[in-house]
Amino acid sequence: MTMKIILLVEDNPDDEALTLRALKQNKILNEVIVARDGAEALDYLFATGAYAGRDLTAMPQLILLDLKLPKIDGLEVLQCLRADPRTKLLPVVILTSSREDRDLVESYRHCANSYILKPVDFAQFIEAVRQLGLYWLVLNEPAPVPRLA
Amino acid sequence: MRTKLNSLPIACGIVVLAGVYFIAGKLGLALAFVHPSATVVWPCSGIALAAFLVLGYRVWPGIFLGAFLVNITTAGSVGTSIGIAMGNTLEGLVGAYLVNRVANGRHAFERPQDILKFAVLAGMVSTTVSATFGVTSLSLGGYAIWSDYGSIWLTWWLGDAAGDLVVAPLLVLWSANPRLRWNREQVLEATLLLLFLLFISQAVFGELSSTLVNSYPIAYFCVPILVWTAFRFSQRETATAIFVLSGIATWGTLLGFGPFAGETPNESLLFLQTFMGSTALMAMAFSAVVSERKRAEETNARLAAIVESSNDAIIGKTLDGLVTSWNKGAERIFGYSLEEMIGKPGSVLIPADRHNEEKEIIERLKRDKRIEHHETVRRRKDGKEIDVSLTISPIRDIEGRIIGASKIARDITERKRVEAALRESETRFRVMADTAPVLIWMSGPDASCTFVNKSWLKFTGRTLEHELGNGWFENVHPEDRQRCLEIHRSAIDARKEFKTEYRLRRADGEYLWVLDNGLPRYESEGTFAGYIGSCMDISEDKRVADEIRRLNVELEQRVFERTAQLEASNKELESFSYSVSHDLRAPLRSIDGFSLALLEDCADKLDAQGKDYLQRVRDATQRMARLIDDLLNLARVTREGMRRERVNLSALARSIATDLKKTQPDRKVAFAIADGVVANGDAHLLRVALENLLGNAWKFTSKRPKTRIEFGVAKQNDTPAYFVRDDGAGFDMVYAGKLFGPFQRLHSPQEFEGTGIGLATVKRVIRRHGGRVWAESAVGQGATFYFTLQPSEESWQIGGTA
Repeated sequence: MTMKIILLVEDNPDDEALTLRALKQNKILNEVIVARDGAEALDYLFATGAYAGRDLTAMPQLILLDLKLPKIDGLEVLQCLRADPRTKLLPVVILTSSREDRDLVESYRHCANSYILKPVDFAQFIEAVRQLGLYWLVLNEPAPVPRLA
Repeated sequence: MRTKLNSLPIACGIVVLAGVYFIAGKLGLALAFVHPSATVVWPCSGIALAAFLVLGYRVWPGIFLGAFLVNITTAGSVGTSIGIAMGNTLEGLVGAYLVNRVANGRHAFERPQDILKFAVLAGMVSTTVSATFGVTSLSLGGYAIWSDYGSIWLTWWLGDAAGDLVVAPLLVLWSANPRLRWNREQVLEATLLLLFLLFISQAVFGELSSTLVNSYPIAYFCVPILVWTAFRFSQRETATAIFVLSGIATWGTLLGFGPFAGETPNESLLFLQTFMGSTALMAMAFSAVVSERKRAEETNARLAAIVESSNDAIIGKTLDGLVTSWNKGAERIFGYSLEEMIGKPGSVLIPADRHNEEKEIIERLKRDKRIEHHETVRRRKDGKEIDVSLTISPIRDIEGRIIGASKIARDITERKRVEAALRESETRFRVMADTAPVLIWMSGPDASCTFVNKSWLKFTGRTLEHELGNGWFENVHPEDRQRCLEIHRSAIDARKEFKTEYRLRRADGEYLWVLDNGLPRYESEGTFAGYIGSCMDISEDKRVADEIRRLNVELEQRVFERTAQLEASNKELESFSYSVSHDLRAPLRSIDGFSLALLEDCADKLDAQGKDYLQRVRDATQRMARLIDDLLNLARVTREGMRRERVNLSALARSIATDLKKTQPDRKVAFAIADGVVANGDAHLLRVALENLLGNAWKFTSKRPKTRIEFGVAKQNDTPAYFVRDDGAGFDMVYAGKLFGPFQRLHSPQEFEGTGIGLATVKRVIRRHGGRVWAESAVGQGATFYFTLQPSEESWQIGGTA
C-alpha cells in the first residue's frame, strides 16, 4: 500500500516549517509535498511544468491549501481543481489566517471540504493539525481516483 | 274723434240723423212767419252742430239730406232747396270747425271762456253762413222778395243762433254723459226744481201770466231758477232747464202770452229768442263756473289729503317766515302741533347757527329760484337736531307775485346715519386696502377690474385709470396671460375661489411672481357682485424653491461622488483588513511557534530565566493576536452593510449570557434579563454591541464572588434606552468621556485584560443606528451602560442611502 500523500500549498517558509513540525509532533508521517505557490501546486496536480511525467494515478490524500499565494492564489487553485474531473473529488482543506467572511464563503462556494483557521497560539495549532490529520487521513474514506482513458 | 265706424252703421246713422233733422225742421218751420222757409225757432242748427261735434264731420250727408227734404217739402225749387241745404250743412261744419279749433270742441261747456267763444263763433259767426245761403237762394229762386232780404236774413240768423245756443249744448252734454246718477235728495230736488220751472215758465210765459202778472216784463223771474239749477246740478241739467224754459216760453209767446208777446208772432219770437239766447249763455257760463269751482274744490280736497297723508313735512310760509300751513308730517317730524305753529315764525325750527341760511333761502326764492333737496339741520320741539332734506318753492298769487314759500322737509336722519356708517365702512375698507402690503383688487360681475389698492399701483407704477376694466391684464407676463385668463374664466363661471400664480410687471419693468387668490363676493341680497382678491409677491419663495432645487441637484451629485469615493475607500479598507488579517498574523504565528519550539526542543539548554522570557514573548504574541482580532472587528462594524429589522434583544442577551457562562462555569453570576425587549436594528451589529457590553460586565465583575448582571430598557425622553448594569469594579466618572475612544483603558491589563477596542466598537454600532451610548458609574459601585437606537427609521433612510 502506497503512502498517502499530503499536498501542502504554503508560501511562507515559517508556516511550512511549523506545519511540518506540527505534523511530525502528531506522528503524521505521510509524505508531504510542498508547493510554494498556486502554479506549482497545479503543476504537481496535473503533472505539468516541473512535475511533468509524474504518475497521475498517485493523487494526494489531502490538500492543505493556503489562500494567499503568489502567482495563482488559493481560491483560483481550488477553482481549477474542482473544474477538472481528475481532481474534482480530492479533499481540500483551506488552512489560512484569514478570518474574512468573504474568504469563508468563497471557499465553500468552490467546494472546499473544510476551512481551518491557523491560530496564533502554536499549541492550539498543533492540536488543530492533530485533529485534522486524524480525521482526513485516518477516519475519512476518500473517493477512488478516477481511471482516465 | 270717434273711432272708425263701418259703412253700414254710418249710413244708418246718416239716415236717422236726416230723419231727426227733417222732423225738427218741420216743427220749426211750422212757426215760420216772415217766410215759409225762415223761422226763428230752428232747433236744426243745434242738431247739426251737435252732430258734427259729437259724431264728426263725416255725417254731413245726413244734415244735407235732412235740410234738403225739409225745404223741398216746404217751398221753392230743387235748386233753392239745395242752396238752403248747403247753407245749413256748411253752417254746422263751420261752427263745429271753429268750436273744435278754438273753444275746446265737445268740451266747450266746461269752462266759461269756452262757452263765450262757443256763443260768438257757433252762435253768431257760423249762423251767418246759413242765413246768407238760405235767403240768397230763396231770393235768387224768386221765392222771396229782395226788399225783405234783411228781415228774413235776421230771422233766419236769429233762429239758427238760438238753435245753436239752446239745442246744441243739450245734445252735446247728454251725449257725453247720458246716465243719471242722482241720490234720493237730488231726485227730490230735481223734481221740485222741475215743478218750479214749469210753474215759473207758465207764470211768466203761459196762460197764467195773463191772469197773474198781466204781461209785465217779468222775464227775469226765470233767472233764479236757472241759477239754482246751475248751482245745484251740472251743465247738463242747466241746458235741459234752458231747453224746457225755451220750449214753454216759445209756446206761450206764440199764444200771445208773456212779456214778449208783441205785434206779430215773428217779432215776439225774435225778442224771445234774443232773451233766451242771452239767458242760455248766462246760465251755461254760470253753470260752468260752478262746476269748475266744484272741480277745483275736489282737486283741493285731494291735494289736501295728499299733503296730510305725506310722511314729509309740508309747510306753507309767508315771505316773512310765518307758517301758514302745517301738515301731519310736519307735526310728526318737528313735534309741534298745527295750533302751535300756524301764524308763528318758522324760524323756531332753525338751529341758532343756521339763521343766515334761512335768509339766503328767502333771497333765492325772491329771485324765483326753486331749492331742491337742500340738506341741512333743523331743530325739533324737544331740542333734538335732525337732518332734513328741504325742497322749497315759491308760492304765487293769481297775478304771479311771490307771496310765500312752500317747504317740503324730509327727515333724513336715518338715511344720514346709514350713509355715514356706509362711508365709515367704505373708508375703513379703503384704508385697510391701501395700507395692506399685499396687492388687492376687486372686479365686477363681468370680470372687469373695478378697484386696485395703492400697493398695487405702487407695484405696477401705473394709475388707477390704467388698471380699471381690462387694463390690469397688460401687467401680466405675455407667457402667463392665456393660463391666467383660463383660470379666471372658469372660476368666474363656477363662482368659485381660485388660486393662480403668474408673473406681474413691476414699475421697473421686472416681472415678479405673484400668488393671486380670488374670492367671489355677493351683494346683501345674494346676487353675485364680482370678485375680491389679493396678489402676494412670491418671487422670493420661487427663488428659494429654485435654489433648493438647484442645491438638491448639487447635493445629489455630491452624494453620488462621495458614495463613489466611499465605496473606493471601503474597498481599500477591505483589502487593508484582508492584509492585516492574513499578513500580520503570520509573523505572530512564527514568533509563537518558534518560541514554543525553542521551549520544547531546547529545554535542556535554557535556564529558568530564558524560559520565562520565551513565555513573555509568547504572551505578547497572544495579546497582539487579540488586538488584531478586535481591530478587525471594529473595522468590520464600520464597514459592513446594515439591514434594519425587529431584533429581540432579550433573546440576544440570553444567548450571549449562556456563552459567557460556558467560558467560566464556576463563576456565580446572576443574569437578570428583561423579557420582550425588542428593537429595530441590525441583528449582527447589535449582537456585537451586546457581546461587548455583556462581556465587559462579565469581565469587570470577575473579582467578586457573587455578582449580578442586568439587561433591560428604560425610558429616556420618550426614547427607549437599553441598558446593561453590573455591580462590578465600576469607574470614576471623571474618565467617562474617554471610555468610548479606541485603545482607551481605565484599568491596567494586570487588573482586567482587554484591548480597549470593545467600547469603541459598541459606540460605532450605536452610532450607525443613529443612537447614543453613555455610562453611569462610580468606583466600586458597578456600572450601567445605556444606549438608544433612535432616531427614527425615516431619518435613517435619508442619512443611510450612502
